[in-house]
Amino acid sequence: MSIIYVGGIRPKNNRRTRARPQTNALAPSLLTLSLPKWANLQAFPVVQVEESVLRGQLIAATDDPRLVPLHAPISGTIVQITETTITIRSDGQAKQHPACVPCELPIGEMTDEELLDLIEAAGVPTSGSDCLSLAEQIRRERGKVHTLLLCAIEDEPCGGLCSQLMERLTEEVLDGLRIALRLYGSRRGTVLLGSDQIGALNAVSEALADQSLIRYQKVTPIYPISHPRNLILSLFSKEQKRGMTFADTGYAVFSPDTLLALYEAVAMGLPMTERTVMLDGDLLKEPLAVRVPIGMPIGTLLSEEMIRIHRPFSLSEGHGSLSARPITQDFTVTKSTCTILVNHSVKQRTEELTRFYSFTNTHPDAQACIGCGKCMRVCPSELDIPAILWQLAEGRTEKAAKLGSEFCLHCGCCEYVCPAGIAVREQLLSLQAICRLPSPFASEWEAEHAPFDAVRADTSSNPAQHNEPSCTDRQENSAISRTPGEESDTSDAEVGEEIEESKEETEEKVCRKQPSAPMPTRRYRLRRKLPGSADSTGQRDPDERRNGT
Amino acid sequence: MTTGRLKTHPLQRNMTLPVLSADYLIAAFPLLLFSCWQNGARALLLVLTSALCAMLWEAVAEGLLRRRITVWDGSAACDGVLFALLLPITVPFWLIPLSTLVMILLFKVLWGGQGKCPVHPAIGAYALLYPFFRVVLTSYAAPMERLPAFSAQPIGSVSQTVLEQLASGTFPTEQMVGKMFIGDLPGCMGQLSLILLIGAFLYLWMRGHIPPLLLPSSLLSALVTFILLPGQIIVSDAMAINYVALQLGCGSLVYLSVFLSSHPTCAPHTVRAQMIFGIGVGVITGLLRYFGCFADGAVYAVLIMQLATPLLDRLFRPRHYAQT
Repeated sequence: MSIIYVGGIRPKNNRRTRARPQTNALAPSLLTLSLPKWANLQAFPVVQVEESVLRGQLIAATDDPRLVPLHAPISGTIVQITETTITIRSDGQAKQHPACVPCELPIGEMTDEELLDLIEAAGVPTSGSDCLSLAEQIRRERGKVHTLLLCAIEDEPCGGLCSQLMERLTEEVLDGLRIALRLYGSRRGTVLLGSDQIGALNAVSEALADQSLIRYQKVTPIYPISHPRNLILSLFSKEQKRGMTFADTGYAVFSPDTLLALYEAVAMGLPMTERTVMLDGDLLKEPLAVRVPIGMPIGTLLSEEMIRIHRPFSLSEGHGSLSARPITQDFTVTKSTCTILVNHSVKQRTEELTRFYSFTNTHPDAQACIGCGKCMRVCPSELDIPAILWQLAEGRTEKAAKLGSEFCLHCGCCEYVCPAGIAVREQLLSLQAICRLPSPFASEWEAEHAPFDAVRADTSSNPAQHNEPSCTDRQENSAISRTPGEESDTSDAEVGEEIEESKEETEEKVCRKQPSAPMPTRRYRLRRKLPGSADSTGQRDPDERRNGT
Repeated sequence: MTTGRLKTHPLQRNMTLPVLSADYLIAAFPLLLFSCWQNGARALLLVLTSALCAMLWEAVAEGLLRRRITVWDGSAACDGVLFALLLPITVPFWLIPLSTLVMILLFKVLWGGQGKCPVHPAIGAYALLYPFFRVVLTSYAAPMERLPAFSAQPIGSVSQTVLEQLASGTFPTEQMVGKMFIGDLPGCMGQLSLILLIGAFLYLWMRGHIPPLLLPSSLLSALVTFILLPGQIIVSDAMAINYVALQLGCGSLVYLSVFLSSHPTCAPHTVRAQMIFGIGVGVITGLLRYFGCFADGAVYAVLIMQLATPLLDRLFRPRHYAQT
C-alpha cells in the first residue's frame, strides 16, 4: 500500500521526544469543572452546594445519550454551582467512590450493551471532543465501520502525547483498541505511527508480535496527516463526500488517549476524571507529561510543577504548535486537552524564539495576497486559495463561496507557507459565516433530532456549530467547544482589549451584513483586526446571534 | 510498512516576502558580478540606481495614493534589479529613473501592489519602452570592453548580437556556442553567461521559489520550433545543432524564464498550467524570431503568456477535496 500525501508541509522537527516519565499532579485545593455542553444540550448538576463528594462520584448527569456525564475528580465539598460550572474544594484525602471498582465479570463474558453502558457511565468522550459520548458514537457507527485506525502519528513540531502513551502504556491502549474492535464488530485494526517515533514503534511492534487482528504501519509524518479526513485520503484514497458522515467512509479514527480512557472505563471501572497532558514549549527545558485531574487551572498546574517563568509568556493549547490556539492561565483542563505550550510572549517573537510558536498568521487582509500559489500546493483539500482570496478582496463573496472553502481542514498549512502572512483560515471562516455555508457533511449527531432544526436555523451563520462532531476531528471539535457559553475559557488576556474594540466593529459589520436573502449581495471587504482565526469567530458568534434574532 | 510518496514538494521553512526578495537578489548577484568583470563597474552602478529609483518611486507612489508603504519588503528593489539586468550595459543613466517610474507606477502600484498586475513589472516596462528606445535598448557592448562608469550618453561600440548576426546570415560555429556558455558574447547584463544562469535556476528551485518545469518546457518547445522553422539555410547537421543552441541560449529567453516568467507572483499555479505557459513562451519566441521584426522576441512572448496566466489558472484549477 502506498501513501499519496496530498499537500501538507513538513515543518522543521523540533520535537523533543525525551520527556520526563509521566508524573501525577497534586490535586489543587479548588477545582472548577465546566458542565458538558453542546449546542442547546447541557448536563445538569446532581449534587447540592455544601454536599461532600468522593473521587469518581457522579456530579452532573444528562438526559441525552449524546452528552457525557461528569464525575468529581477529587474528594471534597461542593462550594459553588453556577449555570455552567461546578466548583469543588478539596479535602486533602483522595477518597475513591465505592462504585469505582472493576467489573466482576471478565470482559469476554459481558455483552456489548453492558460494555457500552460502562463506557457511557464513565463519561468517555469521543476523540477530540470533551462533551460528546463515545458510547453513543459507537452505537451509531456500529456496522458501518470496517477498519479502526489508531492514529498516534505526531506530525506537528512539538507535542508528543501520542508517543508518550504508546510507549509507556502500550498494552492498555492496545487493549482499548481491542475492546473498540469488538464493540464495532470491525474486522481490522491498524495502529499508525510516525516513522520518527522510534520508541513507540519498538513498543508497538513488540506488543503486536503475535497478533493478526491488529497490525501497525509506519507513516512519514507530513502535517496534517493525523487529521482523520486527510489520513484516510492519503492512506486509502477515500474521500468523505458531500452529505456523508465520517463513518460512511468505512473507517473510524481514534487517538490513544480516547482508547486509554475506554480501557480504564471498562477494565478498571474508573470514570474519566483524569487526563494526561503534555507541557512543552520554548520556555521549558524538557517536555513534561503530567496526569492531571480534569478541571485543573493551567496556572496552578504550572506553579505545582515548579515551572517558574520570570518573563512574559503566552500559553496555547492544541495537539501541537501548528494547530494550537491561545489560552489564558485560567484555562482549565478539559476532557480533550492534549498539549499545553508555554512559549515566549508574542511580543518577543524573533526567529530563534519561535520554534514552538503556533504559526497563526494575523494579517487580516486578503488583498495582501501576491498570488504565488504556495498555499495551493500545500493545501490538503487542494483548494484554489489564491482564487478565493482574490474574489474576497474584490468583494465577490458569492463567487468565492463556490470554490469549496467549506472543505477546509483548518490545518493552517497555507498560513505556514504564505509569504505575505495572510490569516487564511480566518478568511475562510469569515467567508463561511458571511455566506452561511452549511457543513458539506451529514451530521449523524443532529439528523434524527427535530428540536435541533430550530437551533440550526438560529445559528446557521455560525460555522463552528455546523461542523460534524462525530468525526474525530480535533480542529472542528475544538471549534465546537467554543460555543458561546464557554467564552470565558477561550478568551485571551493578551489580546483582550483588542478583541473588545474589534468586537464592536465586527458587530456593526455583522449588522450590516445580516441579509434577508441567504446570499449577501453587498460589497464586503474582509478587514478585521483579530488575533487568531478561531478566536475571532468565537468572539463574533454571540454578537451575530444576538443581532440575527 | 511503507514509506510514503510525496505529491508535492514539502516546504521546510517559513517564507516571508523579504526572504523571497532576498533570494532573488542573491541569485542575481553573480550575474551582476560577471557583467562588472566583463565591462566594468558601470553595470553595478546601473543596477544600484535602478533598485534605488524603484524603491523611491514605490514609496512616493504609495504615499500619494495613501497605500500601505511596502518598500521594505524588498519587492521594489528586486523588481529594479531584475529590470536593470534586462538592459544592455550601454544604456544612458537618464533612462533608468524614467523606466523604473513607468515600471513601478504603471505595472505595480496602480494595479494594487506586488502580484496584482498580470504581467511582471519588469517585463511590462521593458515591452512598453522597447518601441520608444529601440536603438538604445539594443546597443550591446562587446565582451571585455572597458566602459566608463559615468556617462550620460550611449557609449561603447555598438556590436551586433548573435541573434542579429544569425538573422543576417552569419554561419553559427562551435566557438560561438562555447562562448555562449562562458559568457563571451554581447548581450544584456542578465544573460551573459549561461552557466551562471543555470546556477541561479538551481538556487531558486532549491529554495522552492520557482517551478522546475517551466524553464525546461519553454526551452524544449522553443527547440522544436527552431528545428521546424530555421531562419537560416542549414547546410550540415553540426550547423543545425549550433544554430538551435545559439537561438536558445542567446537573447534573453533563459534569463526571462529563470527570473521573470517563473517569478512566484506571475507564474501559473498548477504544474500543468506552468507547462502550458512554458510551451507558449517557447513557441511564441520562435514564431516572433521567424516571422516578427525582432531579433529577440522573448520579452513579448513572456508578456503574452503572462497575460494568459489568469486564464490558465482558471482552466487548470485542481479538483478540490470531494468535488463532484
